[in-house]
Amino acid sequence: MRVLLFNFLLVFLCSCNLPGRVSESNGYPPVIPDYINITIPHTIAPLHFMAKDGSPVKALITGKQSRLVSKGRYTVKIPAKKWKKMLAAEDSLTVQVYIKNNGAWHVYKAFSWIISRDPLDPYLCYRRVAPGYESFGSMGIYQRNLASFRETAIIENTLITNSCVNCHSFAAADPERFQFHLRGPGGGTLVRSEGELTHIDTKTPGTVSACVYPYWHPSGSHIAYSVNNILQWFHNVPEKVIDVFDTRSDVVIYELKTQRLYIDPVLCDSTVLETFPAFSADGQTLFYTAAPARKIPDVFMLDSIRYGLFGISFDPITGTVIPPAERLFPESDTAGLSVSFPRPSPDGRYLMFTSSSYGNFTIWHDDADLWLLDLSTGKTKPAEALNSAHTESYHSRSSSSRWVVFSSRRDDGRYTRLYLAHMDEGGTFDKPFALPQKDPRSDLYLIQSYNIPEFVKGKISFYPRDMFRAKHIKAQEWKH
Amino acid sequence: MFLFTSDYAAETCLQPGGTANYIGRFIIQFFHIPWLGALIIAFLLLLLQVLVRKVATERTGEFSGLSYIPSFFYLCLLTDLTRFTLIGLVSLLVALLAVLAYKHIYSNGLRALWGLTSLPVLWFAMGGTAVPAALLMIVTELIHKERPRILPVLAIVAGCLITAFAAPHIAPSLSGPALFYGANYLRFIEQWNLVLPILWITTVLVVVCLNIMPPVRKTGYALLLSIFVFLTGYFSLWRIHDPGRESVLRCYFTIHKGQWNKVIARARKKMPSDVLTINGLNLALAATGQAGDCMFAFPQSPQTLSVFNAGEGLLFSAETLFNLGFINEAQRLSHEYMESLPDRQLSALLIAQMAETNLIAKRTAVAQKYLRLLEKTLFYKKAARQLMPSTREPQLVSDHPFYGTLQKYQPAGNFSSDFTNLDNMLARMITEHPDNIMAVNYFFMYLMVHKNPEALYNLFPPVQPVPRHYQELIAWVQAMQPHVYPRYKDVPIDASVKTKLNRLLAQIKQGNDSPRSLGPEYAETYWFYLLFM
Repeated sequence: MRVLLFNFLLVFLCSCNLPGRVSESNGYPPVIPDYINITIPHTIAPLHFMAKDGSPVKALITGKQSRLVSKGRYTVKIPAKKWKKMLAAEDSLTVQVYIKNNGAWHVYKAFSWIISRDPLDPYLCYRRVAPGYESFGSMGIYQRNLASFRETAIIENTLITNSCVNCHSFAAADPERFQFHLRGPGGGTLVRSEGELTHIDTKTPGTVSACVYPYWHPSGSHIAYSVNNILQWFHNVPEKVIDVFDTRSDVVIYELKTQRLYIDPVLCDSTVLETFPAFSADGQTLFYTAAPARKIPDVFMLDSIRYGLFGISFDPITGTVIPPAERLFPESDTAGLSVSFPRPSPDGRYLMFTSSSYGNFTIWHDDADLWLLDLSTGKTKPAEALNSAHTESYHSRSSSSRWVVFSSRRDDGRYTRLYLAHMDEGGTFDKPFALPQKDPRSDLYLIQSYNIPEFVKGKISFYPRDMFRAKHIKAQEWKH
Repeated sequence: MFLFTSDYAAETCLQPGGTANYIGRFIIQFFHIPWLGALIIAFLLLLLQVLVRKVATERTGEFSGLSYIPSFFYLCLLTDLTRFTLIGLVSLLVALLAVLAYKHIYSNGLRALWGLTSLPVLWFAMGGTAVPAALLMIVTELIHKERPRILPVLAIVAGCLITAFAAPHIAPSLSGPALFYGANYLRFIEQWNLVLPILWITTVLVVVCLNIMPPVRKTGYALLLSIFVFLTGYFSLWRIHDPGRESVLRCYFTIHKGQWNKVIARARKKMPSDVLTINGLNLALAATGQAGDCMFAFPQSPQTLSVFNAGEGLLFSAETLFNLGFINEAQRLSHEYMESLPDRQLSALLIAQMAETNLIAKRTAVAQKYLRLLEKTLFYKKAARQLMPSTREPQLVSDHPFYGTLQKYQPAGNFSSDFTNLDNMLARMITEHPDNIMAVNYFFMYLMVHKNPEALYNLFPPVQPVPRHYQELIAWVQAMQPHVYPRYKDVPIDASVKTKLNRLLAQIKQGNDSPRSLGPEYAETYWFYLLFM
């Protein structure tokens, strides 16, 4: 009887904050971000949202054992402690949204949040930068606690004038083993491994540039890099803005222990543009993309560059590759697709990549979509649930392989935002949802893009001032 | 760009020097109205003088003028807004208020507590001006000999030490000058600048001098000292002030508003000498169709019709390209300029330009984003609200008399926007849109300054009435290179032009061929440009 009375009281108190007189509206509520019918991790921060037109909004969130009414007038805010308890206790939640329009409250069709127990890494690391052309203002690499809204800077470019920080990368999502590039005066590659921070000059006489796009070997012993001569192409038509392309590129492998940069003729063929290396989950294969090198005299030639997906055996003991390279997803050519950002899942089953009609700098390609290659069957398919009419580009898998985070320009076509999505064992994705923010309006006002989202297993302890004490190293070129 | 949002307030204030940045940026937005900006600066500088005098002494009727020194100093700094900002002044004022409060606490223990706590808070809220505040608190303590001063002085030192130890932990992503100054006193926050510490020390010295000097009343000595201070201030200002820069920015805002005749009238009144003003003037000449008749009345060179890739040139070029119908390119340069602002702030003016360019290019979602931001500003709110419906109904843009025309000029054929080949871009534009009169005029000017008679004939075959400078070119070609450009042979030219050219050629024949001797009569002709530029 007491329990019943308590539950009645709880429901009554909860309902007190809800609008009294409501009229029913058909369809799901017009809210941003779109959190309607999604699967969420059990450790995610509260999903705050708002009405699309900024009208007053309320939500009743109900589970089998608990329910709560949102806080906030113009945004649905969820108390963190109650949210945490709900996620721990429930398998799914039903969300009933009330929006006030023209002085009257309307209740919309309820939607669900399925709570998945598949583990999600606790942190997400990304860069925030304005999506620009050549100049860059404020930028930084940040880490975000996914269970809360706490975002802290790992490094910002306020340390050195005209500096740029980019390409952060982790060895198997380990917060103690990571690297990023510092461009500009005194630039180089900062690598933290085995508790030591080193500042590496990765340009060698035999490489076309300093190291660019990185990928750690899962053991942390090597980092595969691309080296690229990068150019920009500015379009004048309204449909396109900019293209970024390579005039030359190769793939090299840096061995941390010996500080050697391995140059292999297969991966450094001057007639081929090799880029975006990625080690397989077992560390035995190096994936990369490649296209025939050619001169780019005009924009129509640019449209014809298509990268294919390749894999080559890698021997972690000797740190060398073993030819021949094998073409994966060979039908990309006939399908008119160009592949970039191959990223294997940590369980070794799948390889996700970005595909667009040409080139490899997909963030400026509206047609860029995410695809999935089943490494066990060799079958490829577009990850339809994740794709939109706008760009989907960089992506990363959680350590459990069940969650993917990717960058997308679906909100406004220009500013990249991060989306998370759940994947089941069969490789089927649920509807993606935007990275929750404390104030759902903050992303609307943010004049920066999020890029290179990477899951991390823990908090990164790095103080930018450590950089000035880093041991300086010059990479030594090594050919097999 | 100051935003009236809680996010902006929190984001700005919750970092070292953030409150100073917030207050400073709030004030700076009023500079949108030039006279109000001047009034605000005058008020703040007078407030600085009053606070310096109040911190220094309780005596009234001082006429030495020494207390004006920091104000003059800051006024000199503010003449260079590319380096110094108003935020440093705001911060110094708050620091002086903290010192004044300290001075008026008579309890020894409370003063010590204030010294201990106010300095870390001051550093976090206002940045590096906590340093002169600490020095002035110590000076105040030493001056008042009747007070027991060991405890308060120790508290001030402890306050400084706490700040110094805590600062790197509070802001781990900052170091060196960015950590020390905290707030954006300077636009280049990562660089040390000795001027500000010198200003702070000067302020402390002024306070010390006002205390140790005997009271200065209305005497000849006081008058002389005041005159000396004011003359020194005036001379410093005169030395530092750069009126040329002001005229460049004035020109920019006039072309931004499309007040073409005003630009031309101003240039006629005072001959522009810098490349950016002439660049803006050329756009005005192209817009009003006066280029063919008077462009060489002003100093021309290939640079005055080029696209700039750095500094304020980006602003001018963005404006030029926008008006010529190169929307993607204009957007790119506006963005580049904003990203190259050394203090890494957003500019409402440039955000507004990016909203316009995106609307014209039919990228309505991103235009909406920019307009949403502008709705949170004071001076761009109204314009943003007016434009917002266009993001939902693109037809409103197409029907707009200005945006609609520019939208119509959007190129159909894709090519690379290479600013080193502006002639290529213009040629494509006028081939696709021969009704883009501004681009047509601009291209004509481009070919004239690049001395290209062949291309001029091909693209702009002379049609009566032939503009004056074109007649000058044709007359020159007919007289000097008839075999090289035979197509110009039969183009009718005014007799007055021919006569003037014959006179010029005769003078040259006689050896009067220097710019000095020909300048008075021919400086405003195309021939002068051909011969000497």
